[in-house]
Amino acid sequence: MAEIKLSLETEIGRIKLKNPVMVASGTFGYGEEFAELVDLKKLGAIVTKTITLKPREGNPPPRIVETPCGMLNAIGLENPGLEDFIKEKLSFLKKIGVPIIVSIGGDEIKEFVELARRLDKEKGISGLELNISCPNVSADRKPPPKASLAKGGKTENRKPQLIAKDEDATYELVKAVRQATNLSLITKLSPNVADIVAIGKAAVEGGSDALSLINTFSGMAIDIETRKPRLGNIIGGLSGPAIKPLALKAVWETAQQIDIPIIGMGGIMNWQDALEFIIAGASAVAIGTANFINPHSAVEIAQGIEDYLRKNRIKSIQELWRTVLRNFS
Amino acid sequence: MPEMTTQKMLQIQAKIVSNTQVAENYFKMCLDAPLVAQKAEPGQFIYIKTSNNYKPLLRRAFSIHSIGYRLLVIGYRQKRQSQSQKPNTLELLYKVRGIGTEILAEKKAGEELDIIGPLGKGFNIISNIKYQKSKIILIGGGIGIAPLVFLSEKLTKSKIKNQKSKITVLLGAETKEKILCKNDFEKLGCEVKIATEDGSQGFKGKVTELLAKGLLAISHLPASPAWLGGPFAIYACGPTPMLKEIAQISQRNKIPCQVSLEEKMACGIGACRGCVIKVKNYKDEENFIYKRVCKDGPVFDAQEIIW
Ligand SMILES: Cc1cc2nc3c(=O)[nH]c(=O)nc-3n(C[C@H](O)[C@H](O)[C@H](O)COP(=O)(O)OP(=O)(O)OC[C@H]3O[C@@H](n4cnc5c(N)ncnc54)[C@H](O)[C@@H]3O)c2cc1C
Ligand SMILES: Cc1cc2nc3c(=O)[nH]c(=O)nc-3n(C[C@H](O)[C@H](O)[C@H](O)COP(=O)(O)O)c2cc1C
Ligand code: FES
Repeated sequence: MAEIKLSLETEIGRIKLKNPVMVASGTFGYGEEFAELVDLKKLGAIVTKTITLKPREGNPPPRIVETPCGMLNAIGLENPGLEDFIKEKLSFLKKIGVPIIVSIGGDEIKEFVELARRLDKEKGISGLELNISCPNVSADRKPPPKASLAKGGKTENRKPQLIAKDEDATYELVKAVRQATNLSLITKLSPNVADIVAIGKAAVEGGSDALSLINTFSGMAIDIETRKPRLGNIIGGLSGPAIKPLALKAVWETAQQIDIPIIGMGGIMNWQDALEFIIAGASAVAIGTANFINPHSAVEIAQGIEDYLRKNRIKSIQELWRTVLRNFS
Repeated sequence: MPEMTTQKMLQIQAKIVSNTQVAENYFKMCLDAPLVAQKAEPGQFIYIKTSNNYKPLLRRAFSIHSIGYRLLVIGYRQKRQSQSQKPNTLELLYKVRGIGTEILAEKKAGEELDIIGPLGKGFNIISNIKYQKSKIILIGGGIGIAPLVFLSEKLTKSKIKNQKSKITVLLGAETKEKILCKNDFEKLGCEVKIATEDGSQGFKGKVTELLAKGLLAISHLPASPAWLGGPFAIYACGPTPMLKEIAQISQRNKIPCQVSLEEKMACGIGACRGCVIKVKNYKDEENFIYKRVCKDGPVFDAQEIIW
């Protein structure tokens, strides 16, 4: 049987990936932490830990609890802040030779805008991921005035909440960042919402080039001996194999209604898991918690996908992409 | 990954040489891991994948208890590695606590384990050159003695020949059956003092009381008791409340003190910031900073920690 020529390439906005397996924000530091163990050049892309304008010290410990087939984390966006990121982390990332996607976060839209404007001036960044969905920081933001006026001013006296829970705020945020940079924009959605597809649509309208699905599910754990929560922050985000079916469903549902590329993530531990996401409609996948268990996960998953394509004589990721939808309709 | 000497940590499949019970719930495991053993420093740990399914999901951290020189089979000749040759095995001492350690206890010689190591920052021995004539006190509470055997191996080796050992090890446990490694320390020439909570062996009470009593004695007597003679340094590992007390005692007595801490970990290599503890911010006295147990520790200066 003749060898078929196959391609693992995929595109996220204007970012070209040589394979569809990237590493998820917050689970791979700034790349350098894994450099001694992993051949970073083999990654599809690297998404950095979320950075904010000013340094953040993060949540009080304990920050990690293991749960059945998963883990809760409440890191609280500990990061060195924009300027130290540029000074100390970016030069290493730039030299790796794979697309670098910088995850940015904040409490207010203007923080995202300032981050985007500043990062736009730096060389070696392929895109920005907007972390509007970190469940561990409460967004004490002002309501976006224009959008709320257009929809009848319902935002008055609103409690602080995640931007990712609000269509209007998501739209306003993405739009504002879109105007501040030419970098490809990926909006990362939270699953802790009533209708994730609606939020995704708001991001598309705002000008997002792609979506990342999903961030962690809010959860908690209690020590029955002390009756104290097991996390210093009380609540945290659930990740790992436990959330995979939920994540897959979110990707599938969104892919049916939205046409921009989706980066699928949530509990991907091996190449079989990754293929499920691609078949459900993800153009690429991101590996999170699995990096902690096996630092080589992403590299091995990319290899596993290649072997699967070859064995099944499928020439490209695109040929496999969203095939579950076609089979259903 | 190619073998690189510059690599400080490695992920390898290590063959289990032996895995034996040494006391109720306590096991010793020997792993064939030359590259890790050669880089290991006392106080560092390895991060073990105990299971191939998701039960448990995360790796488990274990201090390096000792490094060894095992018989190597080269062709049909058996050759004993001499001490001048490089070490090739790692020893762990572990207590069965839950699912991960239960799985480890079931492992048989010949099986392989996925390990990452050596990880973290170990005990600072170099600074002790200036304390060369000093008395060194190692304090281990419960399973906390695990890294102290490797530490005393290093300390005794780095000592000047003919100099009489000045290492005293204080071991604390609930009862005498749970006193481990006494012989290992004595073989290395260390003096061993024991404290048991039930008084079944040695001093009756906590190991911290034994330490405090000894230190109090020197401040009151013109001549110190035989096992204490300043200046000295303390290295400790064990439950956090014990370490906190030792930190307070060493501060009161102005003794440099290093402690090895534990915190729940995810990545183990400094990337996720999940394993932090609060330490003093020397640049800004009003504030604190978080440091990572897996990367900035597990060994810290006791006075740096905000307990
Ligand atoms: C740097 C470092 C070095 C260590 N060195 C050793 C060593 O040399 N020998 C050894 O036996 N253990 C050591 N430990 C502790 C060891 O990692 C835990 O005992 C192990 O993770 C327990 O796993 P498990 O699945 O058996 O227990 P789990 O099922 O995870 O937990 C069972 C019970 O033990 C408690 N527990 C779990 N982990 C810890 C912990 N880290 N500290 C205190 N209580 C815990 C849990 O709260 C629970 O009540 C070390 C830990 C760290 C961080
Ligand atoms: C310890 C930890 C830290 C994380 N930090 C971030 C973060 O800073 N920004 C972000 O967008 N997502 C963060 N995430 C979420 C992951 O990127 C990912 O969306 C989620 O964990 C689901 O994937 P997984 O199940 O493969 O881990 C974090 C996840 C974990 C486990
Ligand atoms: S466990 Fe991830 S930083 Fe320490």
